[in-house]
Amino acid sequence: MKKVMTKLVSLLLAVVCCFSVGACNNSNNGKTLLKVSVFAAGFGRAWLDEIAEEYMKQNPNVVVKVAASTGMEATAQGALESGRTKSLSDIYSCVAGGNFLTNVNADRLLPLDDVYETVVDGEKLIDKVDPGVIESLKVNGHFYAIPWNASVTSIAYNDKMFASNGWEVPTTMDEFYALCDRISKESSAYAIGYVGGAGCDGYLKSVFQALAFQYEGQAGAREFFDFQTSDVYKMEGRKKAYEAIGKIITGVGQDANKNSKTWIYPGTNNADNESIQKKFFQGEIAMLVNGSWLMTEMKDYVPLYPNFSCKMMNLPWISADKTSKDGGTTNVNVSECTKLVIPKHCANPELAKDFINFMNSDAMLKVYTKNTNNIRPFKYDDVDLGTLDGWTQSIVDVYNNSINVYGVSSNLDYRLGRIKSIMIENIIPRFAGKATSDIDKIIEEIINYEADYAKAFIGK
Amino acid sequence: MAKKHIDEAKRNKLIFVWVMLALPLLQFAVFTVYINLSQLTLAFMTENEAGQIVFGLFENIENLIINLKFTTEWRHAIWNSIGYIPVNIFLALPLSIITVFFISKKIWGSRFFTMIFYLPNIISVVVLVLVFKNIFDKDNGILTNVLMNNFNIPFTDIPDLIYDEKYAMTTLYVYCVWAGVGGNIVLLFGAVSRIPESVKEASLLDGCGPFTELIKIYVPLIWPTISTLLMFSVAVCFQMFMHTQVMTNGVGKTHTIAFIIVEKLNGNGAINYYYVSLLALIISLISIPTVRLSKVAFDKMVEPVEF
Repeated sequence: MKKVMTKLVSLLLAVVCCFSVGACNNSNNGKTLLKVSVFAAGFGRAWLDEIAEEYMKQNPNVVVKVAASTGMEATAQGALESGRTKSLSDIYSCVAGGNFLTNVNADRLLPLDDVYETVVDGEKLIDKVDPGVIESLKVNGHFYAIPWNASVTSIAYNDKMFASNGWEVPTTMDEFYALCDRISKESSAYAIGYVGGAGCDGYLKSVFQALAFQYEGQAGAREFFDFQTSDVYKMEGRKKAYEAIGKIITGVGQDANKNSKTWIYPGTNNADNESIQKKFFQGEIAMLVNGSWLMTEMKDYVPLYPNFSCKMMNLPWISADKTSKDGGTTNVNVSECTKLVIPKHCANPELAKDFINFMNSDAMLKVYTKNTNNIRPFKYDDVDLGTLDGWTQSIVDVYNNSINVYGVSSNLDYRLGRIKSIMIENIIPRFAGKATSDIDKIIEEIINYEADYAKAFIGK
Repeated sequence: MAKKHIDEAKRNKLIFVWVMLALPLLQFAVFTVYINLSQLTLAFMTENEAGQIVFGLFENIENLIINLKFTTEWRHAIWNSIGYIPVNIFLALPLSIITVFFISKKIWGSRFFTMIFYLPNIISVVVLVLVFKNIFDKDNGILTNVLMNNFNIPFTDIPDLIYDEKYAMTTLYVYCVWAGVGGNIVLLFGAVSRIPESVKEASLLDGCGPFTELIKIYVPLIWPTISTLLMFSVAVCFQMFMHTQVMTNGVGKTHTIAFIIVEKLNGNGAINYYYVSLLALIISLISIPTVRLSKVAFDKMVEPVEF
């Protein structure tokens, strides 16, 4: 009896162990299963769940299964390398994009030229997409990805605080500096804050790049990302941008009693997202360097502050005449562009394309914006997003009124991360605790360091 | 007949053992050996302009040399990592040994203390760090409140123990001791429990005081366990990243060797897997013999005692 029990238990254990190597099947109660796997970004997954639900209503013979995780990039790469249909989802997202070119060259991704020729809501996709992002989606002249997320990084401001104190949204950096002094004097709040800790360098790197390209213009931005020589790191626009950032970090005003008061909220340089963003919501900070993900990230805290509202401003112009070096008058926003790809050997490539076309329709762009308070890299001039709240409308306005720079370069060293848009590790420690009068010297050191560092890779 | 029966029993036992080991061995082969080997081969590769993977060991080495020349993170990381060795060897481990010595004397509440000391090892690192930060965080910590309300120290005079580079690494070392002592205690307690009572009684009869008993009786008897913990103290130098990642995320020059690698894999923008693999390979080539040699050296420090 004991022997029989032992054998039975062993058999049961062996069967249970086999469950761990079981594979998924590809159909669901006779319906076709479409698997969509995305990186669980700060914008959440509610938008994709809603789009999937809408698609299933219109296609009752399809089940869309959405998987979202922070480790999806690595999972996706492993599945793509295996090439086995059963392991693959039908649509993946790429965030960092480092593997995009490798996957294309290894023939793992489906060409999507036909998707870009598809007419959706009376317009071909290629005409709907933000032109600034097009080149990053192509390899050897063919499309292999659909743009997924864009972002707006700028300065958020407490619009109610501004209105009640009679403060105007600054349009130039000189106006911005004057406003910081005024806020210090007229209010108990601090002028500005940013997420100095948490490893994101306060999102100041995106603001820095936007200011630099705002000054240099589109031609300057293109020249920079060509990386022909390391001298691009010495562009005038970069010096001006470092000057602006340096002034923000080191700026000191006076309060009503003429005591010195820093522009930045105390502890900003080490603050994590939550603590500094809460201070902004509580009215202790008037402006916050942040991005279009702010409200989604803080969605659990928004109901706690029902009297709070904020908007995103266009970055103030460095030049007093609000033009770039090449005479351009459009402001700049630096955005990342993440991608959606279809594996070549997935189970349902045509269905995946159909789903992507559905995602790119105006109605679904509206769903995306409604759920994320954010935009995709599309032209929104003719897209009716409905009535949006003040924050989301300001994001859309900044995006629509800007040249969106996506940081795309074909330079190999840039693609492999050897050279970057900013070669110093972090901007904040360079200026934190220093006097505004020291900024010029610090900038000179930074510029020379970046040029020398990049030259070691570029070679000239 | 009996011999045949014994052989059959042996064979069946062997089959059973191999069947039970098959799945874990397969998992080890796939998820440890294959993955690590394939990751190591990346160190020898890079991409060309066309995005094809090509041999690139020398490019990756050149990449490393340039980064060592231009960045300071490695200097901090190496010193910070090495700092964990004396912290563990001269602080955490002696504290653990002394604590175990007194617990083994069955003082009042010894079982309770054993459980408390082990709690940090079963609680998530993230939770532990949050608890620690809630005490020492300058903006919202308990310490700040006590200093301001009870000692009237102005906020601006309170040091930022977590993020200020003057104190940040020291704070991490303190955390390491606070969180790490418990695990040592449990292992040492197991070793101390094996010491025969007769040996302890004999030492008492010979007039040994507590200090002599600890140094001359307990330590030699549990030296194999102590030397293993000493070896771990050396190994942790190459592995430690979680404390930095969760506590400071590198702010305040708190990088460690392992943290730099993790940071480069999690960083924004392009990730150079080939370069990171080379870093991992180099660190492995240094850490494996270092840890092995340290074990040999520690084993030889005290003569083994059989009991």
